Amino acid sequence: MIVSLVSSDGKLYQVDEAVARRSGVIYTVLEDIGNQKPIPLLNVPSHVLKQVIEYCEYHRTDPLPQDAEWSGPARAELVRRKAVVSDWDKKFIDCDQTLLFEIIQAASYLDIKPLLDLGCKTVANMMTGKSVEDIRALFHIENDFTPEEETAMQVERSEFESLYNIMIKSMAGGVNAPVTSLPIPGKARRRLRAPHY
Amino acid sequence: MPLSTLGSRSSRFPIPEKQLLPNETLTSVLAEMEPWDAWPLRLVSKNFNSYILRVLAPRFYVPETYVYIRRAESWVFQTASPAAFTPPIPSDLTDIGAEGGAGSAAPPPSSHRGQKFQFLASQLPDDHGVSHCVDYVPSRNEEVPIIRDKLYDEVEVIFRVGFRYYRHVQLPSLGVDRSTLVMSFDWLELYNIVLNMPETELKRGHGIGPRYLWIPDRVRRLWMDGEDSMDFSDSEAVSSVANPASPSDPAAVSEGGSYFGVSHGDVSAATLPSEVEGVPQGGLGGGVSQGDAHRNVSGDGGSYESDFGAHSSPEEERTGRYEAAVTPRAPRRSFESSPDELFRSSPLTVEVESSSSEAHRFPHITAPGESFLNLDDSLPENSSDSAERRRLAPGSVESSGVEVVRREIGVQTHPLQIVITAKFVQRWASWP
Repeated sequence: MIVSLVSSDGKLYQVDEAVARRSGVIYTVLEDIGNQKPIPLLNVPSHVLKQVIEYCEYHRTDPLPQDAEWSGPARAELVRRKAVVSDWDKKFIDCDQTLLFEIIQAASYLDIKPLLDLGCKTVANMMTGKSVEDIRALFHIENDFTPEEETAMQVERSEFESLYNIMIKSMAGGVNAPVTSLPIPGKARRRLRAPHY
Repeated sequence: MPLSTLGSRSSRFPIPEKQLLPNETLTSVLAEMEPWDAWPLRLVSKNFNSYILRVLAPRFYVPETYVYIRRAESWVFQTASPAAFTPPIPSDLTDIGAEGGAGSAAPPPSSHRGQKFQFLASQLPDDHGVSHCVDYVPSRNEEVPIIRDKLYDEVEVIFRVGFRYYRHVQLPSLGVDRSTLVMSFDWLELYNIVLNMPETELKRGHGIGPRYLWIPDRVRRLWMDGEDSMDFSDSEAVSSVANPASPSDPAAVSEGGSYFGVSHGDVSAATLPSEVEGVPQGGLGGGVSQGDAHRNVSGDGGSYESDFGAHSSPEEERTGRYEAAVTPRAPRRSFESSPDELFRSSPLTVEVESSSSEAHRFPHITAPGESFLNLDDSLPENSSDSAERRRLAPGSVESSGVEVVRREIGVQTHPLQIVITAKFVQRWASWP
């Protein structure tokens, strides 16, 4: 059976029902209303919907989260797939950053979990190794910490950094290097309270 | 819902005007990151900080964190290998659900890590009450007797977060209840230390031996006494620094050695080694004067307690040599083997307590290679002078300034009599 999807810019796409059911939203619509009219997807532009349909076509035989037997081998299979991204997926997601973000948003909106995971994993790889300022600039994230909160967090971080730096220094000096002092900074020390039983 | 309105609602959480991805998507991205990559990003925004502290850490990081303990004298180390720093291969994920759930790849079969503690899954925190204290239990029930034996001695603690192993971590909040073998610590403290550690230092740490040892009995006593906070003097006893150098090599020790974390004075400014010679009798470092000492001797399978006087000759005392004859009294358990055989084969622990002077802070003597210390049976829990029962690693310094730089213990066994000879060379780090 064919399902009609309408993108936000009015383009009509006709896909197989098995492909359309990869989306949790469309799956619910088909279950509740049935396949009678074209389904409008007002948050998904046509160039993104085309990509999403391509992904769903390729993965049409994968187990669905909605399946009853999801908890058994299907979940293990998903974890395996999560651990190793296939070459096709790598090639599919290797696009420019704007399109990548749009695909992620479309996957989130259409509730296509594997595609969302793939996109998030790609973005996570982009974020790895970047500084806090780089992350803010990359995603246009506003720093909503108050100056006091930011200072407190940086002080806390520096306190623990000083703690492990002392450990590292003792390691760096070789096995006979003395640890002359191992001060636990004041605020960090206050946090390190033994629990009550 | 009419189809015409489907999708008209932009998002459950409105996207900030400038932000490229909504917060809920960014949190999904954070969940895909490794703990050590995500943890430093707490500083990005409140949303990041809150999601990591309230969701990721208690729900995902803590269950995937494992604690390993092993004997301090075990010098079998896991050599750094590339496998320790690469993601698990899919074949490792076939045992999902068997141990630790997804992502808990089994370590390489050749590795020796010690006894494993895993998260007590029944105490998963709820959404609102995120407790920083988490409990860990031995991974297998059959390990309990072995672990209990190990916890009577200094142990090395290794933390595993994800597939990374962290050594050289001093975690002052780490404690264990010996009766139930429930290990507890503050995960915020742990992650603040290990997840901020640069990767280069982490890899370098795998290449050298352990330096931080943990003394479980001291920790437990602290907690059982109801101390709600640890000042630095307490943390000295919680985690000590092992000296990998040979204990019998005084030169290595005098060149610095390794010490507890010392805050009372600067150890590096310690005076040159000054043997007990010349120290006034009864004063600081006077050793164990006759009649004011109480000794406990514990052996595997039985415990002997006896009040007796040390007979130390002046010459021997100058060099810090003591001989003590111990006569067993009221053994708590009957020996399964003869005392002679027992004390030849099993380690001994001798505790010397002094009540006459603050300066008589002699650590109890532990034989090299000891595997147990049965102190809790013989000592009251609410003892106030627990500092005197602190065990010193060779080369360590007590707050009173007594340093044991060398020790030799000889044991002669006779029927119902044991002669223990302990030899000390002492020096003063600071004059109280």
